[in-house]
Amino acid sequence: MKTHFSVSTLRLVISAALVSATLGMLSSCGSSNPSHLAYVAGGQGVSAYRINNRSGSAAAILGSPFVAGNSPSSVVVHPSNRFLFVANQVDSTISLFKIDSTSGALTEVLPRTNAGFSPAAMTMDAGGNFLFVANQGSNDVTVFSVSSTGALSQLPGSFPVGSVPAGLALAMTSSGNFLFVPVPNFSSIYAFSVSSGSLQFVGSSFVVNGVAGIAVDPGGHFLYATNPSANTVSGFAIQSGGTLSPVPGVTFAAGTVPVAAAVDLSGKYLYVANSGSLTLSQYTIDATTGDLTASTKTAPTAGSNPAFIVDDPAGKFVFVGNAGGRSITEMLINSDGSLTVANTISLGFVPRWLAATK
Amino acid sequence: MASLRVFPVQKKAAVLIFVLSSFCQLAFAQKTSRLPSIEVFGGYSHLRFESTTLGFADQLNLNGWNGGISLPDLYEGFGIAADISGHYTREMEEYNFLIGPQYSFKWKGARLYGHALFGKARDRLRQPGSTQFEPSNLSRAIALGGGLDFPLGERLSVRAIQADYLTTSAFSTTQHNVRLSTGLIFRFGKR
Repeated sequence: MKTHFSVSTLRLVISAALVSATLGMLSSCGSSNPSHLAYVAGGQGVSAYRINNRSGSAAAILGSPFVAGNSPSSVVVHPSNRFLFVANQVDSTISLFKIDSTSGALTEVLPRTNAGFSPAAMTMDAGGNFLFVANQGSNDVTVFSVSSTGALSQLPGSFPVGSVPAGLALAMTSSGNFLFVPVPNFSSIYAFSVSSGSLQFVGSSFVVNGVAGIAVDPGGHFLYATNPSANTVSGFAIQSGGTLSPVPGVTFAAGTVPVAAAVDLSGKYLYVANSGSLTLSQYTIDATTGDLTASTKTAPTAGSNPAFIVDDPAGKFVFVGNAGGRSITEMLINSDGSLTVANTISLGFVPRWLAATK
Repeated sequence: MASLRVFPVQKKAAVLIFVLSSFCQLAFAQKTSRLPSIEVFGGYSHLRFESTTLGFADQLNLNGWNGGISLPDLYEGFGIAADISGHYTREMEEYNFLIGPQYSFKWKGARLYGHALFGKARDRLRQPGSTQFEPSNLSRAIALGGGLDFPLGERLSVRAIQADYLTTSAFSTTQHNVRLSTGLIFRFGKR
C-alpha cells in the first residue's frame, strides 16, 4: 500500500514537472513582432491597421472601422500613443479615442468637443500639449490644450486666415515655434508664431503659381509648397522670426498636379504626390540652401490620384493616400532616399488623412 | 455588452454533456455493467492564440478550463472523445466544442493517446472599442493532438499533459494555435 502511494506521488510529480516545463517553453517562445498602428480617416469612420515594421504588411484591426462623427477628415495620434483625435467635418466636432495598444481598438470618449465650423486639418506640437485645428467653414485656426487624460479645452479666441485653409495637414516646426497654414484661394501661406498654445500672426507669404500642400523639414529650416497649377514645388527658408523667403532655386519641376508633400524624418529627402498621375516625385534637399535636386531614380507609382503623404514615425516608410484608388500605398524609404512600394492597403473609401503610432 | 450570452452551440454542447453524464451515472450504478468504460476529464487549460491575424500586437495567452467525456476503448484502443474548453484573457475569450476519434495504448504503466477532434470555436472580443462590428464569431475548429495519462488508482488518473494543435478561423482569418491541458480523469464502467 505504501509502495502504491509512492508510485502515485511520483506520477503526480512527473505530471506536474511535464506541465510546468511545457508551459515554460510555451511562454518563453513569444514571437517578437515589432509593429505600429495606422489610423485612416475617411468614409464614416476610422479604419485601423497594424503595420509590421519590417515588411510593411498590414493587418486590419478587428472591429475596424471605428465609429466617429460625421465625415471624419483628419486624424492625429498623441505622442504618448494613448489617444487619437479625429476631426468630424460635418459635425464640427473633435472626437477623442483611447487606443488599446494590444488590440489596436479605439474607444471613443464622449462627449465630443465642439470645434470651429467644418474642421478639416489638424496638427499637434511635439510635446502633445496643444492641438491646432484649421476650420474650412469659419476660415480660421482654433487651438485646444490637451490634458493628461486626452481631454480637450479650447483656448480663447480663434485665428483667422482670410479664406478657406487647405484641407491637408497644417505644418509645424518640430520645435513648436511656428505654425504654417496654406490658403489656396489667396495663394498664400499664413505663418504664426506659437507660445504656450497662443498664436501670433507673423505674416503671409504669396506663392506664385498657387499652393496646395506644404511640408516642413524636421530641423525647421525649410518649407516646401506644392504648386498644382504649375506642376512645380516652391521652396522657402524659414527665417528666425517665422517669415518665409524663397530658396535660391525658388521653384522645382514636379509631376502633374502636385498636391501634397512630405519631408522624411532625416530631413534629406522630399516627396511630392502628383494627383494628376500615379507617381511621386523624389528630391534630395540641400541642407545648406534648401534647394531641391530631383532624383534620377524611377518615380515610384502609387495608386490613382495620390492626395496626401504621411511619414511613418519610425522613418522607414511613407504612407500615400490615394483618393482615386481608395487605398493607401506604403512605400519603403531606401538608403539613397528612393521609394519602393512595400504594400498597398485597399480601403473601399476615399482616405482623407492618416496618422500612425510610433 | 451582454457577458452572459448563451450561444446555440453552447446549448448543444450542454445537451451533449447531459446525455453523456446520464450514461456515466448508469455505468456507475451498475458495477457489472456491460457498458464500455467512460472517462470524464476536467482541468486547467492554456491556449496560445494567434491573435496577430486579428491585428493584435502579439499572440495572446489565454487561461481557462478543459473538460471532456470519452469512450476510450470501443474497439482495440479506438474510441471517441468529446471535448469542451473555455479560455480567457483581458481582450478576448474562446470556447471550443469538439468531438472526434481517439486512439490510446498503454506504455510502461502510463497511457498515451492521440485524437483528431472537429467542431466549432466561439470567439468573443471583450474590448471591441467603439465599433458597430459584432464582437462575437462562430467558426470551424480542428484539434490534432494527444496526451499522457498516469493512473493514480482504480478509477482515478491524472492527465499529465494534453497538447493540441488547434486551428480556428475566427473572424474570417485562420489562426494556428496551441492548447495545453492538464487535470484529473475519473473512470466509470468496466475497465
